[in-house]
Amino acid sequence: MKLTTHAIRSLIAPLALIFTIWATVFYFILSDELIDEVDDQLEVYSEQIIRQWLAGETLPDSTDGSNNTYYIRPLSSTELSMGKRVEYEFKNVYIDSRREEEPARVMHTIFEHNDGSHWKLTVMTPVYERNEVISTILIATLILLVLMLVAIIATFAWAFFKHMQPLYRVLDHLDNYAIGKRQPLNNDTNVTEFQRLNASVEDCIDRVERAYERERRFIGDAAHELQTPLAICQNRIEMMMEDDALTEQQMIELGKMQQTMAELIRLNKTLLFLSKIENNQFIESTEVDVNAKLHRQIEMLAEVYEAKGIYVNLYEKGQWTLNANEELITSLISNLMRNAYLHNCPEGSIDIYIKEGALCVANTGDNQPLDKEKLFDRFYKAHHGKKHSNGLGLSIVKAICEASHLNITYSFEGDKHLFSVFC
Amino acid sequence: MKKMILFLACVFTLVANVSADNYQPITRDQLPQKAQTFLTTYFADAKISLARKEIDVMELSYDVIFTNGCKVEFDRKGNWTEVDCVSTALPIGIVPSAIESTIKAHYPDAKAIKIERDHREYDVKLNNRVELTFNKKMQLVDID
Amino acid sequence: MKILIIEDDLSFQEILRKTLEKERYIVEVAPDYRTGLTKLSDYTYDCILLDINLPDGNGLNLLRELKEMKKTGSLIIISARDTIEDKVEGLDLGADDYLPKPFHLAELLSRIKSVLRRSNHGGEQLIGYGNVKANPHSFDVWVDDTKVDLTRKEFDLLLYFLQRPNRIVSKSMLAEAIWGDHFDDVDNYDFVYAQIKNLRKRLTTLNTNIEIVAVYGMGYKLVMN
Repeated sequence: MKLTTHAIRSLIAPLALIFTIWATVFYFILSDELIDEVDDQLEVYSEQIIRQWLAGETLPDSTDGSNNTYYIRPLSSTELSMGKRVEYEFKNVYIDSRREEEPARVMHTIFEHNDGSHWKLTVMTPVYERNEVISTILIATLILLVLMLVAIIATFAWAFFKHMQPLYRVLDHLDNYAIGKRQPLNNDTNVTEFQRLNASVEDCIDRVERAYERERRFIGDAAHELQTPLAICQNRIEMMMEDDALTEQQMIELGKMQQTMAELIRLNKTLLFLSKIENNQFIESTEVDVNAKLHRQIEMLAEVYEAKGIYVNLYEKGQWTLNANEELITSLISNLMRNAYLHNCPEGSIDIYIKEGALCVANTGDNQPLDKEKLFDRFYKAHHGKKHSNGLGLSIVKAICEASHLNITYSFEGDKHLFSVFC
Repeated sequence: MKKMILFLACVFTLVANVSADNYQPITRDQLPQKAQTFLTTYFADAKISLARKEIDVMELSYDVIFTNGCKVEFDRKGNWTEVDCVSTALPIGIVPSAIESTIKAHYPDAKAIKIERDHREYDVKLNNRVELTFNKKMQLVDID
Repeated sequence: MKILIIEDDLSFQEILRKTLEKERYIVEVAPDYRTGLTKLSDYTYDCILLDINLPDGNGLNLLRELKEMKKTGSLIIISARDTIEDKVEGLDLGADDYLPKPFHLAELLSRIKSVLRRSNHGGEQLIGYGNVKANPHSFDVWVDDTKVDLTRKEFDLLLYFLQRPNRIVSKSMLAEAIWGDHFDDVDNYDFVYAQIKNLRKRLTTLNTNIEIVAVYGMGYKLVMN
């Protein structure tokens, strides 16, 4: 789930709760205030009546046109003990002027006369508008509440999205980052946290780049430094082999040593080659006729691998001319082809398709797909114990593709291992 | 969560307080001591018809109505804020002497029938329908 | 023939010296730039083997100095650096050949012979052993002055052996030399064997007094009967 969605979700629940409480309280206070207002009027009214009545003055007309009505009656002692001194209630009262029953607020006040007798004053005022007012308030409150919630969330989402832009830019930057191909991070921000994030990301990329550079240089340097000792070792064996005093057994041993030396030198050369490709030392590029290169490689390899009895089918669907380094393209085709021969089964076949912008090599072999993740890794060997395969062939293919801006994919289709190189 | 519950509790207490009855009948004993003393001093003979406590959101006040129609209001501490005797004269001693003498000087025949005070001024109503306003220093500031 | 070896690795220097001495060359050695420069200005050599990575200076500068002295003598660069740029720069400065380490001693000898031949005979560059002669440019082969026809592969193989008489040549060296750079790690060398077999038959039918013999476990060797 997106961060914005998360934040908005976690905002909605508490906001909704707070607003609901707020609205409830608001509603209660307001409706209470409405009753209060009526009660205050009734209180003033009843106090006026009581005091006028006690002072023996003329009482106002009980129906003075204001819809307020009152009556005073004496209380028996039983009624006195039961009733409260001051009491409010809602009641439906018959209103003369309207000729029907209407809801009214009623106030009872019990007071004492100078002679010790108790009286009860009942005043009432119709409140037929109260329910309408309350429901209007309720609806208005609810509408405002929802509008406010929506407005707050919309504002929040907008602000959040706006302020989170640097984060998304950093994420995009990291997504697009490929090791060894650093792009500048354009993410100006005055937010401290994002400045820190930028700095951390840059720092992290720096370290990755340095580590990658060191590793790359190490392999090249190591292979390079090995050249002279390897040469010395190989040449000393060769010198020894020229000695006529050697027995046949010694000669055989030397031969085996030389064989191993040769493998070691080849491995070192391949590593150097790989390191050179990765360091982009093959800069010179020309128009390379891929079809012609392919023909030449097929011809040569057919001769070399004649003994394996592998059948090669070439499907030429078009002409591919590529602007690239000739040596690299030759090596690419050769490595792809040799891979197809090397991991083939006896009496197997190799199908080669070429058209403009694409070359596919499919070969029979083991009946299970290779590990796509590790396939192009250095020294990856799908079949352990296979001789004369140093596990670098496909790494070279991959490195050449990257250096020449080509794509390579592997798939296992219909019992065949298919490698596709395309623009 | 605890905070939330606490908050809710506060809210409902407030709501409950507000919605409680505004006027509660009380007996003379439930008045503040100061108010009781005031009543004994100035209304020793008068009989209470009705005594009430008025609860508002912010303040508490008391009022007492006598069987002769007189009314006295007190604040929460028991200090009087209003004495109203409808048409008869206020008991002597309630109106401060400085005000009393000013009234005598201006309206020798009139009697004070109602006096109100708050923290800023005094309002005195005379039986000749004149209303006088005094400031804190008992100086006449307005005649209505 | 006098050869100067300028090489800082003493072990390697020793190998080169012994190998060349065995081939009856007069060998002088210099372990660093300074000694090399002194020897070059004082004497004249038929061939100089120059390592361009010297502890006290760049071998390419030595090459420049040599060209300024206008001395005769061929120069072969031996280097652990194997980039095209290095190679091009060395050859542009006037080196006759560029041999990246590691190399086979047979290869070195063949290159030395080749540059010496070039400087001594001018354009004429026939390579011969026994009663067989070959022209690497016109692809012509003569047996006792009679021109014979060989296939392209047979010619390539024969030339390779003629350039390295009496030295052991392994199958992998042949594969690399004849079938190119990317054919040095195939899983068997039957194809080399097949070609050698053809060539041996041809040499017999052509009545040559040279023969390619198999050296058990190591490869082949061109010998005179």
